[in-house]
Amino acid sequence: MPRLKSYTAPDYEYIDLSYIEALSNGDLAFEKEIVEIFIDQILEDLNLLNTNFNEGNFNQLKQSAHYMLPSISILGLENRLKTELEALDALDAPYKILKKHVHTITTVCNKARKEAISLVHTLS
Amino acid sequence: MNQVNYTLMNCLIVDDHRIARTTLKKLISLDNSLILAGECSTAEEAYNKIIHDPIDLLFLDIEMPGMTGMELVKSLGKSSPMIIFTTSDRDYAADAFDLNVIDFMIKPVSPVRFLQSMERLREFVKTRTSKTMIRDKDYIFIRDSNTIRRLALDQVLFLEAQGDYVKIYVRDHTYLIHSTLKSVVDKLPDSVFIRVHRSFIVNVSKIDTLEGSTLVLDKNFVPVSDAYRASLNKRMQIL
Repeated sequence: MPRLKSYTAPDYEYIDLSYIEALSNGDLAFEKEIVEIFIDQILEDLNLLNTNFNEGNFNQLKQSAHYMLPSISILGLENRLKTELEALDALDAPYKILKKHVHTITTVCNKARKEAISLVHTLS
Repeated sequence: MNQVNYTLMNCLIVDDHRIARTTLKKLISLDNSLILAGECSTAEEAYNKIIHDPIDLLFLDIEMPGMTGMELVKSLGKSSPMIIFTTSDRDYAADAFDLNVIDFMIKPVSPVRFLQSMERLREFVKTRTSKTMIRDKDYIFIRDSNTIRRLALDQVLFLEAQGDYVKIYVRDHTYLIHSTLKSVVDKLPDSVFIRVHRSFIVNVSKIDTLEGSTLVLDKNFVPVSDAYRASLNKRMQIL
Protein backbone atom coordinates (compact mmCIF):
# COMPACT_ATOMS: atom_id res chain seq x y z
CA MET A 1 0.00 0.00 0.00
CA PRO A 2 1.66 3.27 -1.03
CA ARG A 3 2.25 5.96 1.55
CA LEU A 4 -0.35 8.62 0.91
CA LYS A 5 0.12 12.35 1.07
CA SER A 6 -0.47 13.93 4.44
CA TYR A 7 1.35 17.20 3.99
CA THR A 8 1.16 20.35 1.91
CA ALA A 9 4.04 20.70 -0.50
CA PRO A 10 5.87 23.99 -0.16
CA ASP A 11 5.60 26.47 -3.02
CA TYR A 12 8.46 26.40 -5.46
CA GLU A 13 9.60 29.07 -7.86
CA TYR A 14 10.66 26.78 -10.69
CA ILE A 15 9.25 23.30 -10.43
CA ASP A 16 5.55 22.76 -10.84
CA LEU A 17 4.25 19.58 -9.26
CA SER A 18 0.74 19.70 -10.74
CA TYR A 19 1.33 16.88 -13.18
CA ILE A 20 3.13 14.60 -10.74
CA GLU A 21 0.47 15.17 -8.10
CA ALA A 22 -2.36 14.50 -10.54
CA LEU A 23 -0.67 11.27 -11.49
CA SER A 24 0.40 10.12 -8.04
CA ASN A 25 -3.02 10.47 -6.47
CA GLY A 26 -1.21 10.96 -3.14
CA ASP A 27 1.38 8.20 -3.62
CA LEU A 28 4.45 9.86 -2.09
CA ALA A 29 6.80 7.01 -2.98
CA PHE A 30 5.94 7.52 -6.63
CA GLU A 31 6.44 11.29 -6.38
CA LYS A 32 9.82 10.74 -4.77
CA GLU A 33 10.84 8.24 -7.44
CA ILE A 34 9.97 10.63 -10.26
CA VAL A 35 11.73 13.58 -8.64
CA GLU A 36 14.85 11.49 -7.99
CA ILE A 37 14.96 10.42 -11.62
CA PHE A 38 14.67 14.07 -12.63
CA ILE A 39 17.55 15.06 -10.35
CA ASP A 40 19.86 12.49 -11.97
CA GLN A 41 18.64 12.86 -15.53
CA ILE A 42 18.61 16.63 -15.83
CA LEU A 43 22.26 16.80 -14.79
CA GLU A 44 23.22 14.42 -17.60
CA ASP A 45 20.99 16.27 -20.04
CA LEU A 46 22.53 19.64 -19.19
CA ASN A 47 26.05 18.28 -19.52
CA LEU A 48 25.23 16.94 -22.96
CA LEU A 49 23.52 20.17 -24.03
CA ASN A 50 26.46 22.31 -22.98
CA THR A 51 29.06 19.95 -24.43
CA ASN A 52 27.31 19.96 -27.79
CA PHE A 53 27.02 23.74 -27.77
CA ASN A 54 30.63 24.31 -26.72
CA GLU A 55 31.88 21.90 -29.39
CA GLY A 56 29.70 23.51 -32.07
CA ASN A 57 27.73 20.29 -32.77
CA PHE A 58 24.50 22.05 -33.60
CA ASN A 59 22.57 19.07 -34.90
CA GLN A 60 23.48 17.21 -31.72
CA LEU A 61 22.56 20.34 -29.74
CA LYS A 62 19.09 20.26 -31.24
CA GLN A 63 18.76 16.56 -30.40
CA SER A 64 19.99 17.03 -26.86
CA ALA A 65 17.48 19.85 -26.31
CA HIS A 66 14.77 17.59 -27.63
CA TYR A 67 15.96 14.78 -25.42
CA MET A 68 15.41 16.97 -22.33
CA LEU A 69 11.71 17.44 -23.05
CA PRO A 70 10.27 14.54 -21.00
CA SER A 71 12.15 15.57 -17.84
CA ILE A 72 11.42 19.24 -18.36
CA SER A 73 7.73 18.76 -19.04
CA ILE A 74 7.07 16.35 -16.18
CA LEU A 75 8.44 18.90 -13.70
CA GLY A 76 6.40 21.68 -15.33
CA LEU A 77 9.31 23.66 -16.79
CA GLU A 78 8.21 23.46 -20.40
CA ASN A 79 6.29 26.74 -20.56
CA ARG A 80 9.03 28.63 -18.79
CA LEU A 81 11.59 27.39 -21.33
CA LYS A 82 9.34 27.36 -24.38
CA THR A 83 11.11 30.17 -26.27
CA GLU A 84 14.55 28.74 -25.64
CA LEU A 85 13.61 25.18 -26.57
CA GLU A 86 11.89 26.29 -29.75
CA ALA A 87 14.92 28.33 -30.75
CA LEU A 88 17.21 25.35 -30.24
CA ASP A 89 14.85 23.22 -32.27
CA ALA A 90 14.75 25.71 -35.14
CA LEU A 91 18.47 26.62 -34.92
CA ASP A 92 17.86 29.76 -36.96
CA ALA A 93 18.96 32.30 -34.36
CA PRO A 94 22.44 33.91 -34.27
CA TYR A 95 25.12 32.20 -32.21
CA LYS A 96 24.94 34.82 -29.45
CA ILE A 97 21.22 34.25 -29.01
CA LEU A 98 21.63 30.47 -28.98
CA LYS A 99 24.30 30.85 -26.34
CA LYS A 100 21.93 32.93 -24.26
CA HIS A 101 19.22 30.27 -24.64
CA VAL A 102 21.54 27.47 -23.59
CA HIS A 103 22.54 29.57 -20.59
CA THR A 104 18.90 30.21 -19.64
CA ILE A 105 18.00 26.52 -19.94
CA THR A 106 21.01 25.58 -17.84
CA THR A 107 20.23 28.16 -15.16
CA VAL A 108 16.53 27.33 -14.92
CA CYS A 109 17.14 23.58 -14.86
CA ASN A 110 19.85 23.87 -12.24
CA LYS A 111 17.58 25.95 -10.02
CA ALA A 112 14.76 23.49 -10.59
CA ARG A 113 17.12 20.66 -9.68
CA LYS A 114 18.00 22.39 -6.40
CA GLU A 115 14.31 22.71 -5.60
CA ALA A 116 13.82 19.05 -6.54
CA ILE A 117 16.56 18.01 -4.12
CA SER A 118 14.88 20.01 -1.39
CA LEU A 119 11.56 18.38 -2.26
CA VAL A 120 13.04 14.88 -2.02
CA HIS A 121 14.16 15.68 1.55
CA THR A 122 10.58 16.69 2.32
CA LEU A 123 9.28 13.44 0.86
CA SER A 124 11.84 11.25 2.66
CA MET B 1 -9.49 7.81 -10.14
CA ASN B 2 -11.80 5.10 -11.39
CA GLN B 3 -10.37 1.93 -12.75
CA VAL B 4 -11.72 0.35 -15.92
CA ASN B 5 -12.10 -3.33 -16.64
CA TYR B 6 -12.17 -5.19 -19.94
CA THR B 7 -10.28 -7.94 -21.79
CA LEU B 8 -6.87 -8.52 -20.20
CA MET B 9 -3.97 -7.38 -22.34
CA ASN B 10 -0.22 -7.78 -22.05
CA CYS B 11 1.43 -4.46 -22.67
CA LEU B 12 5.01 -3.36 -23.13
CA ILE B 13 6.52 0.09 -22.59
CA VAL B 14 9.19 1.13 -25.08
CA ASP B 15 10.85 4.42 -24.23
CA ASP B 16 14.47 5.48 -23.81
CA HIS B 17 13.58 7.88 -20.97
CA ARG B 18 13.37 6.32 -17.53
CA ILE B 19 11.18 9.17 -16.29
CA ALA B 20 8.71 8.54 -19.13
CA ARG B 21 8.66 4.78 -18.45
CA THR B 22 7.99 5.41 -14.77
CA THR B 23 5.07 7.74 -15.44
CA LEU B 24 3.64 5.29 -17.97
CA LYS B 25 3.83 2.48 -15.43
CA LYS B 26 1.78 4.61 -13.05
CA LEU B 27 -0.77 5.33 -15.78
CA ILE B 28 -0.99 1.66 -16.71
CA SER B 29 -1.78 0.84 -13.08
CA LEU B 30 -4.98 2.91 -13.47
CA ASP B 31 -6.42 0.32 -15.81
CA ASN B 32 -6.77 -3.16 -14.35
CA SER B 33 -7.15 -4.78 -17.76
CA LEU B 34 -3.53 -3.97 -18.60
CA ILE B 35 -0.82 -6.37 -17.51
CA LEU B 36 2.63 -4.85 -17.75
CA ALA B 37 4.78 -7.48 -19.46
CA GLY B 38 7.92 -5.38 -19.32
CA GLU B 39 9.69 -2.21 -20.30
CA CYS B 40 12.38 -1.64 -22.90
CA SER B 41 14.66 1.33 -23.43
CA THR B 42 15.35 0.60 -27.10
CA ALA B 43 13.28 -0.52 -30.08
CA GLU B 44 15.74 -3.35 -30.76
CA GLU B 45 15.19 -4.75 -27.27
CA ALA B 46 11.44 -4.46 -27.79
CA TYR B 47 11.61 -6.23 -31.16
CA ASN B 48 13.27 -9.26 -29.56
CA LYS B 49 10.73 -9.34 -26.77
CA ILE B 50 7.75 -9.01 -29.10
CA ILE B 51 8.81 -11.90 -31.33
CA HIS B 52 9.24 -14.19 -28.32
CA ASP B 53 6.50 -13.09 -25.91
CA PRO B 54 2.77 -12.61 -26.40
CA ILE B 55 2.45 -8.82 -26.37
CA ASP B 56 -0.94 -7.30 -27.21
CA LEU B 57 -0.20 -3.62 -26.86
CA LEU B 58 2.83 -1.32 -27.12
CA PHE B 59 3.19 2.07 -25.53
CA LEU B 60 5.82 3.23 -27.94
CA ASP B 61 8.04 6.28 -28.02
CA ILE B 62 9.04 7.51 -31.48
CA GLU B 63 12.42 9.19 -31.18
CA MET B 64 14.89 6.76 -29.69
CA PRO B 65 18.58 6.16 -30.33
CA GLY B 66 19.02 3.48 -33.00
CA MET B 67 15.77 2.13 -34.37
CA THR B 68 12.87 4.58 -34.03
CA GLY B 69 9.37 3.66 -32.91
CA MET B 70 8.07 4.09 -36.47
CA GLU B 71 10.76 1.76 -37.81
CA LEU B 72 9.89 -0.81 -35.17
CA VAL B 73 6.23 -0.84 -36.24
CA LYS B 74 7.22 -1.17 -39.90
CA SER B 75 9.68 -3.98 -39.17
CA LEU B 76 7.06 -5.95 -37.23
CA GLY B 77 4.61 -5.68 -40.13
CA LYS B 78 1.44 -7.68 -39.67
CA SER B 79 2.74 -9.30 -36.49
CA SER B 80 2.81 -5.92 -34.77
CA PRO B 81 0.86 -5.66 -31.52
CA MET B 82 -1.61 -2.80 -31.20
CA ILE B 83 0.26 0.49 -30.91
CA ILE B 84 -0.22 3.61 -28.84
CA PHE B 85 2.49 6.13 -29.61
CA THR B 86 3.73 8.32 -26.78
CA THR B 87 5.97 11.15 -27.83
CA SER B 88 7.07 14.66 -26.95
CA ASP B 89 6.75 15.78 -30.54
CA ARG B 90 3.33 16.30 -32.12
CA ASP B 91 4.93 16.68 -35.59
CA TYR B 92 4.84 12.90 -35.95
CA ALA B 93 1.07 12.61 -35.58
CA ALA B 94 0.22 12.33 -39.29
CA ASP B 95 2.90 9.72 -39.98
CA ALA B 96 1.89 7.80 -36.87
CA PHE B 97 -1.76 7.55 -37.82
CA ASP B 98 -0.72 6.35 -41.29
CA LEU B 99 0.55 3.26 -39.48
CA ASN B 100 -2.95 2.45 -38.20
CA VAL B 101 -2.09 3.03 -34.58
CA ILE B 102 -4.74 3.17 -31.88
CA ASP B 103 -3.71 6.52 -30.52
CA PHE B 104 -1.01 9.15 -30.39
CA MET B 105 -0.40 10.70 -26.98
CA ILE B 106 1.77 13.73 -26.30
CA LYS B 107 3.96 13.46 -23.20
CA PRO B 108 3.44 14.16 -20.43
CA VAL B 109 0.21 12.16 -20.60
CA SER B 110 -2.44 13.15 -18.09
CA PRO B 111 -4.51 10.44 -16.36
CA VAL B 112 -7.63 11.76 -18.13
CA ARG B 113 -5.95 11.59 -21.53
CA PHE B 114 -4.67 8.09 -20.76
CA LEU B 115 -8.14 6.84 -19.85
CA GLN B 116 -9.52 8.36 -23.07
CA SER B 117 -6.93 6.40 -24.94
CA MET B 118 -7.96 3.22 -23.13
CA GLU B 119 -11.53 3.90 -24.17
CA ARG B 120 -10.37 4.19 -27.77
CA LEU B 121 -8.46 0.93 -27.36
CA ARG B 122 -11.54 -0.78 -25.99
CA GLU B 123 -13.59 0.37 -29.00
CA PHE B 124 -10.92 -0.91 -31.35
CA VAL B 125 -10.78 -4.32 -29.66
CA LYS B 126 -14.58 -4.56 -29.70
CA THR B 127 -14.75 -3.79 -33.43
CA ARG B 128 -11.94 -6.18 -34.22
CA THR B 129 -13.58 -8.96 -32.22
CA SER B 130 -16.89 -8.54 -34.00
CA LYS B 131 -15.11 -8.54 -37.38
CA THR B 132 -13.34 -11.77 -36.40
CA MET B 133 -16.65 -13.32 -35.40
CA ILE B 134 -18.08 -12.45 -38.79
CA ARG B 135 -15.04 -13.80 -40.57
CA ASP B 136 -15.19 -17.09 -38.67
CA LYS B 137 -18.64 -17.84 -40.06
CA ASP B 138 -18.95 -20.22 -43.01
CA TYR B 139 -21.63 -18.16 -44.74
CA ILE B 140 -22.50 -14.59 -45.64
CA PHE B 141 -25.79 -12.86 -46.28
CA ILE B 142 -26.16 -11.00 -49.56
CA ARG B 143 -28.92 -8.85 -51.02
CA ASP B 144 -30.16 -10.58 -54.15
CA SER B 145 -32.83 -8.33 -55.78
CA ASN B 146 -35.49 -8.11 -53.06
CA THR B 147 -34.27 -11.17 -51.19
CA ILE B 148 -31.66 -11.42 -48.48
CA ARG B 149 -29.92 -14.67 -49.29
CA ARG B 150 -27.63 -16.85 -47.20
CA LEU B 151 -24.66 -17.92 -49.26
CA ALA B 152 -22.40 -20.75 -48.09
CA LEU B 153 -18.80 -19.66 -48.54
CA ASP B 154 -17.73 -23.10 -49.72
CA GLN B 155 -19.98 -22.57 -52.75
CA VAL B 156 -18.20 -19.38 -53.77
CA LEU B 157 -15.59 -19.72 -56.50
CA PHE B 158 -14.38 -16.14 -56.73
CA LEU B 159 -15.44 -12.49 -56.60
CA GLU B 160 -14.89 -9.77 -59.14
CA ALA B 161 -15.05 -6.00 -58.69
CA GLN B 162 -17.23 -4.33 -61.31
CA GLY B 163 -17.41 -0.59 -60.74
CA ASP B 164 -19.65 0.04 -57.73
CA TYR B 165 -20.60 -3.64 -57.65
CA VAL B 166 -19.06 -6.97 -56.77
CA LYS B 167 -19.95 -10.03 -58.78
CA ILE B 168 -19.94 -13.27 -56.80
CA TYR B 169 -19.41 -16.43 -58.82
CA VAL B 170 -20.78 -19.75 -57.59
CA ARG B 171 -20.80 -22.93 -59.69
CA ASP B 172 -23.77 -22.25 -61.96
CA HIS B 173 -24.75 -18.77 -61.02
CA THR B 174 -23.56 -15.25 -60.29
CA TYR B 175 -24.82 -12.63 -57.86
CA LEU B 176 -24.25 -8.91 -58.27
CA ILE B 177 -24.15 -6.94 -55.04
CA HIS B 178 -23.75 -3.21 -54.53
CA SER B 179 -20.49 -3.03 -52.59
CA THR B 180 -16.75 -2.66 -52.94
CA LEU B 181 -14.33 -5.54 -53.06
CA LYS B 182 -12.56 -4.07 -50.03
CA SER B 183 -15.64 -4.14 -47.82
CA VAL B 184 -16.55 -7.66 -48.97
CA VAL B 185 -13.06 -9.01 -48.32
CA ASP B 186 -13.23 -7.67 -44.78
CA LYS B 187 -16.13 -10.05 -44.17
CA LEU B 188 -14.45 -13.12 -45.63
CA PRO B 189 -12.14 -15.51 -43.76
CA ASP B 190 -8.45 -14.93 -44.67
CA SER B 191 -7.88 -18.66 -44.41
CA VAL B 192 -10.17 -19.38 -47.40
CA PHE B 193 -10.07 -16.34 -49.69
CA ILE B 194 -7.13 -14.54 -51.19
CA ARG B 195 -6.82 -11.51 -53.41
CA VAL B 196 -4.99 -12.34 -56.65
CA HIS B 197 -5.64 -9.14 -58.58
CA ARG B 198 -6.88 -5.63 -57.89
CA SER B 199 -10.30 -6.79 -59.09
CA PHE B 200 -10.38 -10.47 -58.07
CA ILE B 201 -10.55 -12.51 -54.89
CA VAL B 202 -10.58 -16.29 -55.16
CA ASN B 203 -11.52 -19.21 -52.95
CA VAL B 204 -8.20 -21.06 -52.67
CA SER B 205 -9.88 -24.46 -52.29
CA LYS B 206 -11.64 -23.97 -55.65
CA ILE B 207 -8.50 -23.42 -57.74
CA ASP B 208 -8.16 -26.12 -60.39
CA THR B 209 -5.04 -24.94 -62.19
CA LEU B 210 -2.61 -22.07 -62.39
CA GLU B 211 -0.96 -21.56 -65.75
CA GLY B 212 1.30 -18.56 -66.12
CA SER B 213 -0.77 -15.66 -64.82
CA THR B 214 -4.14 -17.32 -65.11
CA LEU B 215 -6.10 -19.29 -62.58
CA VAL B 216 -8.82 -21.69 -63.57
CA LEU B 217 -11.69 -22.25 -61.18
CA ASP B 218 -14.46 -24.50 -62.46
CA LYS B 219 -13.82 -23.47 -66.09
CA ASN B 220 -13.61 -19.77 -65.22
CA PHE B 221 -10.40 -17.83 -65.94
CA VAL B 222 -9.09 -15.39 -63.37
CA PRO B 223 -5.99 -13.20 -63.91
CA VAL B 224 -3.22 -13.10 -61.30
CA SER B 225 -1.23 -9.87 -61.09
CA ASP B 226 2.46 -9.81 -60.22
CA ALA B 227 1.80 -7.90 -56.99
CA TYR B 228 -0.20 -10.81 -55.57
CA ARG B 229 1.73 -13.69 -57.11
CA ALA B 230 4.08 -14.33 -54.17
CA SER B 231 1.31 -14.45 -51.57
CA LEU B 232 -0.74 -16.75 -53.80
CA ASN B 233 2.17 -19.16 -54.28
CA LYS B 234 2.72 -19.18 -50.53
CA ARG B 235 -0.93 -19.91 -49.86
CA MET B 236 -1.13 -22.68 -52.44
CA GLN B 237 1.80 -24.49 -50.79
CA ILE B 238 2.92 -25.88 -54.13
CA LEU B 239 4.88 -29.16 -53.73
